Amino acid sequence: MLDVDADFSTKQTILDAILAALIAWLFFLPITGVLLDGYAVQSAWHQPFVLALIVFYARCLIAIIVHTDLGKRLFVGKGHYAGVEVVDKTNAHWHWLLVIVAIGFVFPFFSSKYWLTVAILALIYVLLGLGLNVVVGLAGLLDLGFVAFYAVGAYSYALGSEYLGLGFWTALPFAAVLAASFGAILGFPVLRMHGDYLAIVTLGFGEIIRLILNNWTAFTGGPNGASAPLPTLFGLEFSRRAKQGGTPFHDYFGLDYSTIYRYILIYLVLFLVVCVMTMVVVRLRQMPIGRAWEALREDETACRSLGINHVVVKLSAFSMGAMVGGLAGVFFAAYQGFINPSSFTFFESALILAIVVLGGLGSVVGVIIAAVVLTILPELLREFSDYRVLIFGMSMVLMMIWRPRGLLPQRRQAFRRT
Amino acid sequence: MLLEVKQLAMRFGGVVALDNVSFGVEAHKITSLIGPNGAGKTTLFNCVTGFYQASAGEIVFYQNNQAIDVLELLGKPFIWQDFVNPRQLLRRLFFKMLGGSHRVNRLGIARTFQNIRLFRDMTAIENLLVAQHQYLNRNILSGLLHSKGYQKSEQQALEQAYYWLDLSGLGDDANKLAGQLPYGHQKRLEIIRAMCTQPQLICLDEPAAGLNPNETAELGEFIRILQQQHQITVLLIEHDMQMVMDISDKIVVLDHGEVIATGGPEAIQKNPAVLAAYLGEETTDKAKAETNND
Ligand SMILES: Nc1ncnc2c1ncn2[C@@H]1O[C@H](COP(=O)(O)OP(=O)(O)OP(=O)(O)O)[C@@H](O)[C@H]1O
Ligand SMILES: [Mg+2]
Repeated sequence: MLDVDADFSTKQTILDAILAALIAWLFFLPITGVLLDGYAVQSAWHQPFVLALIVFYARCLIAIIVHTDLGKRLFVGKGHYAGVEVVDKTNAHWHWLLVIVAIGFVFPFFSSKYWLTVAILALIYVLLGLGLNVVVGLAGLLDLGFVAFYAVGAYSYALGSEYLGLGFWTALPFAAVLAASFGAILGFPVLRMHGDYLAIVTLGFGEIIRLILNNWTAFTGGPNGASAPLPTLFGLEFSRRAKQGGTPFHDYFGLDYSTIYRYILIYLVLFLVVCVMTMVVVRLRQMPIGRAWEALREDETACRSLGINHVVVKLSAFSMGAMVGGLAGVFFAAYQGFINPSSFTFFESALILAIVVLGGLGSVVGVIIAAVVLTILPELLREFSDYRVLIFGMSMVLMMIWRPRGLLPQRRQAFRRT
Repeated sequence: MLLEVKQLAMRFGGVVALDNVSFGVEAHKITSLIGPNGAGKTTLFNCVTGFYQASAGEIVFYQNNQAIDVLELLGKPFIWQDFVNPRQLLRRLFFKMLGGSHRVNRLGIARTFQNIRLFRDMTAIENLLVAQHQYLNRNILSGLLHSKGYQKSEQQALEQAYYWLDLSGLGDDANKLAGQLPYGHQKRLEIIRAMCTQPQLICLDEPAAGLNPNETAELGEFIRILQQQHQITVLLIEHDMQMVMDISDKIVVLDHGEVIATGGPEAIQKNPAVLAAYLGEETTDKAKAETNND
């Protein structure tokens, strides 16, 4: 198992390990080497030695592992790992895809309410990740205010039902269009910006939206938030007792009242939307507009020299991303039943960006996996919730070292002669 | 005449990069632009292709017996006459809002860059497909639904792309990432990417820089093919004199932002002002002395 390659040198390894152990010993000496016992100080000289010994062995082990085949694949990557590979279009995985989709559709009928809500949250983040992936991953426009569109979507459902009497189903297209327009509105002032400047302006945009929601109390309810109605299914309501003239869902089907039905509905619709949006994004990527987005990411000047109107391309990327974000917002509002501006802080933008970066800029599958992992992992690790952000930061740092292009290598479709 | 540059000037703050530059580019001919480093050749290209807005002067492109003002496409500043001429005002407003260098390309002027600007993380063939963007079926719905018309348009684009790849000998590189191709191949890819926009005039900025003599000769051959078999007009910046003298029909020499000589290869080779510009002061004195002797 431990077949090391020719580059491995025992002497070098031991020297490195001794150095590491020495540093560890010096480091731990003042920390664990002295014990406070009341007012007295006791020396515990053996402890730093033990720790240094552990460091010594660990350093040796790491040195050996990175020189084995397995270690190389895990840590170093293939010699020419570029993070991008060109593959022929294959349908080899389509039945796995079918299985996953089928599992996704039957999941809510066997799940507990708790895991159902976790799954809804995960899917919402998948949707957000897909949306931001278009803007950051494909078009290369670093957007730190993506949460603004999420907020626009959520509030357009909550306020739309309050002022316009919109239901869940009409709110979906309404929010999509509204969020897309907001995307275009943001797009205009930042047309001439790149990189850092763009990031700062979008960050500002996100904060502006949040502050408006927070301070325009008369319209948005301010910090008190706004309530979003429960979704309905063909006019059937999911509350215990229906409003006048309506029929509650459980009465209609002769079931006992339970709040799980509403989550099942939200989950199923959300899952469908996620499936459709995944397909749309995958396909857009292979269409002229998607290629233009990627070309814009690679080189805007070259794009213009090829007759591509960068204004249109940028605006369409912003609108497309914002639209998906807005849809996610509607589901979030419907799922929570109540929203307020504190759900739409910068931390949320950072989280979505982390999903896109971890998943690999531009890789749809990677983004989906990252979104699911980043929402489900904190649930599994409830005990460590204090360290959540720390773990997060560390995983980002490790990612940047090992896989700067994302967990999965990006795949580009090959175009063969016909 | 396909392109005419008249009294063009370009200033960057105090730096005068181009001053009173005038020359013409004959249709279906190869015109070369030479000059020492920093003479303003690239700046001139950037003006012609709409990446810089010239400070003064005119660039006229002749198409279907029509003279088109290239600078107008970029959105010229308003002048007071506009406000008494509503049509003129609307036109100007339109180009102010929707103009830009991409319109110059759509007019039929394509270009390459001195330092290669490929879409490095996309495959070679995708680079060529992006270049055909304006000729493709870009309807989102028919694309999402893979309609017949969409498939046909993609198919045609693919054929066109393979045509150019084969012509330039890059057929085997079609599905490799552009950024990972050898340097010479990248240079060629950039040229055929420009060709995929179906231009009338192609502006090549030092295509032979960094190529070995063999590759340079092949490139010269390729440019000839473009000009002769595809009726393309070529405007070429090049430091490789061998190549310039071999393939050019006309040479324009630029120095310190001014045109110092125009003419055929032989005439340029003998021109004392050109020799002086290239070989420095010493020769200037010699050239002067020679002229005095005559
Ligand atoms: N964007 C700019 N801002 C300021 N000055 C510029 C700019 N672009 C070019 N210049 C100046 O204009 C002059 C001409 O530069 P240009 O790049 O056109 O030279 P060139 O003839 O292409 O030289 P080379 O053969 O080295 O490519 C130089 O003095 C340069 O410093
Ligand atoms: Mg130059």
